[in-house]
Amino acid sequence: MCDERERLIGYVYDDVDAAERAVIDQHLESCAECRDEIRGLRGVRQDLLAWDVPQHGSVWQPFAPARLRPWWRDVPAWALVAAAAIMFLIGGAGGAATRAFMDRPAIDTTHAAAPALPSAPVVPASITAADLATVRHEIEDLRSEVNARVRLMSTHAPTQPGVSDREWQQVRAMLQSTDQRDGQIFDIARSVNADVVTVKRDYDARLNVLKQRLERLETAVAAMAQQQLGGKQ
Amino acid sequence: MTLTDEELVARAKAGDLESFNQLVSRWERPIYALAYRTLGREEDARDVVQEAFLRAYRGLKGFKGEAKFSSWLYRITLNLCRDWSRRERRAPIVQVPEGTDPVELADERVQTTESVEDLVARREMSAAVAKAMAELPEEQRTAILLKEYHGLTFQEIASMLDCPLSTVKTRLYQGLSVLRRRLERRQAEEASLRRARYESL
Repeated sequence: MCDERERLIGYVYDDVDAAERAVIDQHLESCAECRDEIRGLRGVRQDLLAWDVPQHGSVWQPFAPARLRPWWRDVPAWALVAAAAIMFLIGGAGGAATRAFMDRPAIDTTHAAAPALPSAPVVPASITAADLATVRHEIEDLRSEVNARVRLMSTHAPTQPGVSDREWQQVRAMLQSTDQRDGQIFDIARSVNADVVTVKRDYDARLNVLKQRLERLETAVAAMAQQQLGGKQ
Repeated sequence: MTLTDEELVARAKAGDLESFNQLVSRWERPIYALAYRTLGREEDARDVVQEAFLRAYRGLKGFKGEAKFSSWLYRITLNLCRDWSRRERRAPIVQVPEGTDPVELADERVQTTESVEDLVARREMSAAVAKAMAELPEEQRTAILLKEYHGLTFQEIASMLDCPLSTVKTRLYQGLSVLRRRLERRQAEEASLRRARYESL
């Protein structure tokens, strides 16, 4: 035992089995050196308790729960671009129709303090055949552009990574619906034989229908995003 | 309901950040104590603790639960401390404990039942232990830290340090023996100084 004092470590830390403890106890009865060793080891363990660690605040910056990603962050970029382009075209068509068929506000110069300017040309309230031709031409152009985009996306979209056939079908349906919407605007333009007020009222009513359809379109895109999320998980 | 480390680890692995935060708050103090006693400097210990938990978080998926989570954390911390010491090319520093100002000591004493004399003696002993520990070889110091201040079993220390159980016991015995001699010598020197002061009066 005196030659293998490492065995005393288990005894000092009270981490020995009963048999080993009995052997060491028996040895200690007859060995003053090992008794002193045990006393010294226990004493140094007592001294070690004095070693303080300075008080300190937490150094950890707790993780914050992840922010929820808005659904549109998960929609493929090309679908977002398509939706944005469609919205732009619809807005453009609506704007063109409104500019063509609505009365332009007359400039009121009667209360102006400044010297009188030459009067502005009078804008006719009725629609001329030239106006109608212009609007038709503009809407035909927009329609062609939408169709061109649909064809372009039909060609390229399936090669987009991570886009399934089903998702592509949904986007194609979405674009088709937009195409129909464009057609409705065109129909409005063709029915301008009525007076401007009637056209305006009709246009507003149809615009509301278009807005509702747009909401459904957005819902469909959101559902696609959810599907894509589900697919990833 | 208090969740076990294993349950919190499982939840954290599934992406529950709050569970990982709980693990941190549960183990931050022991990990800081290990880093501080290994490196001897508060700011180094803080940096190591932060890095240890970041590494633990990043490596959580790879933690198979073969060892206890705490043992895994201790191992990460010790590895970081070793890297830190090598990078800084220095042995553990003995930071002079604050509080040698009698006013500060008196303030601290109010919160405890210690006399000022006892508090001074404890502070001096703390500094003496820190110095003696800093002078030990790294493997002896690590074995003593894990056993004495963190209560690991011989087997846990052996697994953590990748060495046989008998080696752990040898390192502990040798380390404690060296500490004993140094601390006894210090006490003898202090007794001699006190005797000299008494005789000069």
